[in-house]
Amino acid sequence: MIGAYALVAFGGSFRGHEVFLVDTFSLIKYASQKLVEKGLEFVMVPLLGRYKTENAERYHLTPLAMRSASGLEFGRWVSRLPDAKRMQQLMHGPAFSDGRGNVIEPRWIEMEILDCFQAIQEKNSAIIKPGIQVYKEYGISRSFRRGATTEARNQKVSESDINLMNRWRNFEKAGGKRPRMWMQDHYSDIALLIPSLLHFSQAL
Amino acid sequence: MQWGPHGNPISMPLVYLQLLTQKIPSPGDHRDEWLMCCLVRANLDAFWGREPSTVLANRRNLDQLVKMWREVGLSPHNLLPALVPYPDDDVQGIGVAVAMLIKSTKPGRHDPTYTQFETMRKLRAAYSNMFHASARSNIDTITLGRDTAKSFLTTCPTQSSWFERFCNGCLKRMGQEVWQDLAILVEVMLAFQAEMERDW
Repeated sequence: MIGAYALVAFGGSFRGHEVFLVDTFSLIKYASQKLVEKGLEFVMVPLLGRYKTENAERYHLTPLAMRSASGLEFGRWVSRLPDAKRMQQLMHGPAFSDGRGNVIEPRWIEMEILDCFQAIQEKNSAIIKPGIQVYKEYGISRSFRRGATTEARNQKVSESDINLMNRWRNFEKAGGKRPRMWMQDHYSDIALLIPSLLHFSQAL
Repeated sequence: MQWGPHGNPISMPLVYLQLLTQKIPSPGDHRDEWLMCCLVRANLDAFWGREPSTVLANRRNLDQLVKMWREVGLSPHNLLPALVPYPDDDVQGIGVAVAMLIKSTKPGRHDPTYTQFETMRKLRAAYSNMFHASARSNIDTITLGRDTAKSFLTTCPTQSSWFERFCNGCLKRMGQEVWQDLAILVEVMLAFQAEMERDW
């Protein structure tokens, strides 16, 4: 669950709280389909929730490449989530939840991730430099998003693709207004954007 | 020291202390002393809400205004607004300002010696939300506009111009320290993935 959380946050360039909006029902639905775009297999991360300026709960779909250029296995971790939910016998509600279906405490997941980072730093200081205070300087709120965006820039992903991935409002501001739709309508719209959206996670 | 608005009771913290507590301050009472300290601080912060050059220019222009009137025989006493004392209740939100200043002295998330302005200002929002839920606010508030674009004319004390200046001055004095989350490098993610894979 923690691995899936981190990979989804990094691959989708999400802020920490957004990952908790991943919805079990549509996650299972998309996991049962083989999604391919121009020969490239991908997985769909469906977020269900309400964002600022919106007046109702909506779905937001984010496609992730099965595997990034550096070797991050987004597909494997996302497809493990439905299995974990089936084991919990939870087919609806938030994907990152405890056995009773309640959303996992963000602070708990943050501490689990930071504990792991701390262990990485102790084992290999070339990856996380010794001067970095892991518990103070990293946080689920922005670290994944900032890291993914920086890496995408380093890998020469275009600014428009980064903006598109980094949230709907940037995209809307840029003039490419995407109408707010319900789940069934939304997929056909997002399908046109999949190649651009996949550039991001593919390049990481 | 900048000039405060004449006749404004908050430029006289002792008067305002009596107004807020409804009693004569007792010498040696540490709560009165603490409150007095906060009132003086709030007052100074409100003064510093404007740049000294702006205040000086304003004063210079007022002097000129009076001079011009006198040239044509007009009396400034009849033309300038009367700076009478403020009403007996807290119309400027100084009670909330005092609470914000006390909050600033408590240990914060990143520093054990103080709480940042961004955190302490939430008290203002809390008071404002409560005020706007009250009957007084619902009767007094005037709305302009339609549908999504609306403007509310409110009598909430924490929306007063004094309170705005207090907040500006307070922020200038305290500054703001931004702690950004460090970016996670892809190498860290790969090491993390390997750790998770081992545990799976």
